[in-house]
Amino acid sequence: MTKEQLSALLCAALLLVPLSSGAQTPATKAPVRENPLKEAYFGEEHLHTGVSMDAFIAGNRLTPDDAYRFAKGEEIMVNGSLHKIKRPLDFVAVTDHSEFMGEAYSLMNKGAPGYDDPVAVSFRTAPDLKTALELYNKYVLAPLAGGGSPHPDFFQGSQAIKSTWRKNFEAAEKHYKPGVFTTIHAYEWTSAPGGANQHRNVFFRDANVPDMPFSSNEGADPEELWAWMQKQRDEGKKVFAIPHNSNESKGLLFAESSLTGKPIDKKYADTRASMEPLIEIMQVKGNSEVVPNFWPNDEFADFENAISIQRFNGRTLLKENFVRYGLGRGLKYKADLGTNPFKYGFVGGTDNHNGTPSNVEEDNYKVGSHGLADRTAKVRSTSVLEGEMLISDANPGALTGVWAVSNTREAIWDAMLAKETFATSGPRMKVRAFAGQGFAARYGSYEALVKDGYAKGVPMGGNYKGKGAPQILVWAVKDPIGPNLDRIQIVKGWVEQGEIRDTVYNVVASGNRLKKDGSVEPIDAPIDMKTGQFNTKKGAAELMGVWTDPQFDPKQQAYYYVRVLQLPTARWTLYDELREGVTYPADVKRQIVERAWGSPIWVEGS
Amino acid sequence: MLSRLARDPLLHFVVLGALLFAAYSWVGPGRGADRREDRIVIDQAQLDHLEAMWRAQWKRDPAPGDVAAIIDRHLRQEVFYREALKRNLDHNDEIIKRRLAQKMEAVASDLGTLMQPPTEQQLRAFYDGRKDLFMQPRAFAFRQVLFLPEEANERSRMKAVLVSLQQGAAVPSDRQNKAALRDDWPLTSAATLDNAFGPGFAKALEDLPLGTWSGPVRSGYGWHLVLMQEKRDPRLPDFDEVRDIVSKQHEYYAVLEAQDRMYAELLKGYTVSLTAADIPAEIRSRFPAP
Repeated sequence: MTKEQLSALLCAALLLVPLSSGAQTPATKAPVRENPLKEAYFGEEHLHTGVSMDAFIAGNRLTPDDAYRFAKGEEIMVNGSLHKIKRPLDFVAVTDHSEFMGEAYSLMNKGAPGYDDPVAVSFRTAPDLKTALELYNKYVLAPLAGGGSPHPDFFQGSQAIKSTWRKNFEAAEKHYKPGVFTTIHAYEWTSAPGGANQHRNVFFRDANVPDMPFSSNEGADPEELWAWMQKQRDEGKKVFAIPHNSNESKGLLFAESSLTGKPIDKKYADTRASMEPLIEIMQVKGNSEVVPNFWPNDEFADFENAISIQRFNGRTLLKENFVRYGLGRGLKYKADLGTNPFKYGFVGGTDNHNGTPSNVEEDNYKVGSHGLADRTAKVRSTSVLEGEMLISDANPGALTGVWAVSNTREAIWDAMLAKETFATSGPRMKVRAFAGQGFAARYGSYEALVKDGYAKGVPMGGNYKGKGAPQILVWAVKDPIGPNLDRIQIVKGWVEQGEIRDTVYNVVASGNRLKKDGSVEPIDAPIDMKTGQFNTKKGAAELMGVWTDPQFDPKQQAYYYVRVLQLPTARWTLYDELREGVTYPADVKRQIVERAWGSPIWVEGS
Repeated sequence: MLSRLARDPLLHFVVLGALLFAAYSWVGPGRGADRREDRIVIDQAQLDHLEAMWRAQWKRDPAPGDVAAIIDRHLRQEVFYREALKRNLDHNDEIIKRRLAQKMEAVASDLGTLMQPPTEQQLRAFYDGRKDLFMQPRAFAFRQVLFLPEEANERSRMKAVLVSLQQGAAVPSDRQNKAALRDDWPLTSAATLDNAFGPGFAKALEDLPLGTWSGPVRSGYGWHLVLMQEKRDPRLPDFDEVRDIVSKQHEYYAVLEAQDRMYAELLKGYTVSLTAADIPAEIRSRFPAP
């Protein structure tokens, strides 16, 4: 099928989308309560609606408007089933592909150029079934079958892209309710040279956005994207980018050279560090933290690794594709160039193509995440996500937690820029960490702990500047509808004699399981395989502690990040088997240890 | 909406194929549109697609010998397929019939919903007829104080705090926002509470007296002392308040009905003659003789 035919199909099919004429409600100006100690807000950082063409072709007809409704807890029709998430979200960024925003707008919106095109009109006003069928055949079925090449008269060039972007903008404005529900103006820049994923989500701080997003059609090199972003910043706009799927990057995300083959230099490092504060550590197509192949000593590395991505596009697993490698490589660049280009905090997203933000609950993964391709348990248990992976290898996606003073665009975006964030593999556990000196061994209350954390240390995402080994104050609380917590770990990475190293420390464990040698008595709390029910007796609801690095070397740079593990829970595949009677192959996991990752704190020396 | 069409498994196949082609047509140069009947083109996109299908089946990359087999298999299928079409072998084949009927059913349903957007009146009638869909659930307003099972002496401490709260004392400072869970809960639906505190929490709130500290109540975190301030009964919101939800629900149920409605309409275009002898009269009477 040619590009023209596809465009035609897209246009024609869009004719079928009913128009929504939602009244514009101006954002309310009620004062928003602020908490200087910050609250954890949960949200979606990566989502596609029907505006993304790949999502559209896969059957998604939901609009950003629908996506925001879904995020607020409304039941929405998703691929033919009414579906909702259990808990509303605090914030959402709809990140439709900028590459595919083209022809749609004029056909969907009254008064837009092309809306009154005779074909569009005739379709909307088809007097009977027969006429409608003929149009349907001519503009949908025939192009699909490759039988013709009708030129899309509707296409209005860049004006149409602007209009679609504008429509996404308006939906975000309509649903933004400061203090209650935050929408973030965002899109995805989609470049994958040779199948090596370079994708970035671009986030704007406020309603000051360009009239057209920069797509990989204008520039497929991240450096071109950053140059464009710099131009936006020069014009007073506030913007950053978040890369994702480093696991599919063929070694290009944490590379030794730029995409043009130039070894990474100071300028590149400065630009990247400035443009990209965060990385999406996990999503539907896999957890990019670590894999057991290259981190055999991390006993919890085997988690949603989506290893079947290797079967497609030559996306072999490389150590250089993983976030923990990137963090270490960044330290080395810092030593060599003076700037760490990979100084990434953590966020999590879904990359869901159903228009259903943070549809991440394992026991509620009823309609999949990629339209028709994984809509039913029957399909999921037997099929491949074409060009990507085995469906049984996918997961519902991850979640972002942001520590912000209020639930507003500015507060959320600022906290993301400051990297005071964490990612979870789906559950709503909360995690905080501070690095400093003089913390107490125990605190009388949660608030006292947080106050002391800020007073004597830096939060997640910050730079520890004290003398001597940092004390790291850690705190985590369970998801109320999930199981208790098993433990808190700290992952330390450093560079020693030119070699990138990392190790995992157990810092706090429930009960008295943490031994003197640093190991932890396994909690032995398997799920009930007949019901999916998790153990409700073991573990702890809340964990806190203070840890001091026993191997601290003031001459070394290092990063420290927190990983929180909860007790085992059933994976979505087990719920499919119990609920729908399907059977997954024996090697597919039914039980997982869900987790949260707090953004690193860095020790960079002077 | 294309939702019904979207359910057709054959179309899934076609659409997934289109997706794959789409990926290449956006990055690669446009390809020619000359597709004469006697010409079979295997371009890069086509080959990649065939290889992807092959990998899905054999779980490894095809070797050069495999590629020859993939191409051979594809050509054989394509040649026989086209020859079969020329000889009308697709006619009156039960499997092909079923496939095509399914596709047509999907198209018909789509058009059904497309051509009949609901009127305001219909929406109101739907709202009146399906009040069960729009009821707002039971809700509670309260304050709470949390004790975690892993805390030392949590039971005796809780008893003491309950007594002091009942006597009008403030919430102890170490209990404020315990585990980062807020103390005050304005009117919140039972379902939301179950999600914030864990399953069964709202039900346990039912038995608590109004206006006085009581408990403890078990949650996903631990034990809570609760000052119940208000229990609100389920209520039916006004139509205008839930218009969007009514519209969405209506759309959903309309899709469910569309297939039958379309079938009935299409059936009108046919004359059905049941001439077989062994058809009971009751069934025969559903199809009036021409």
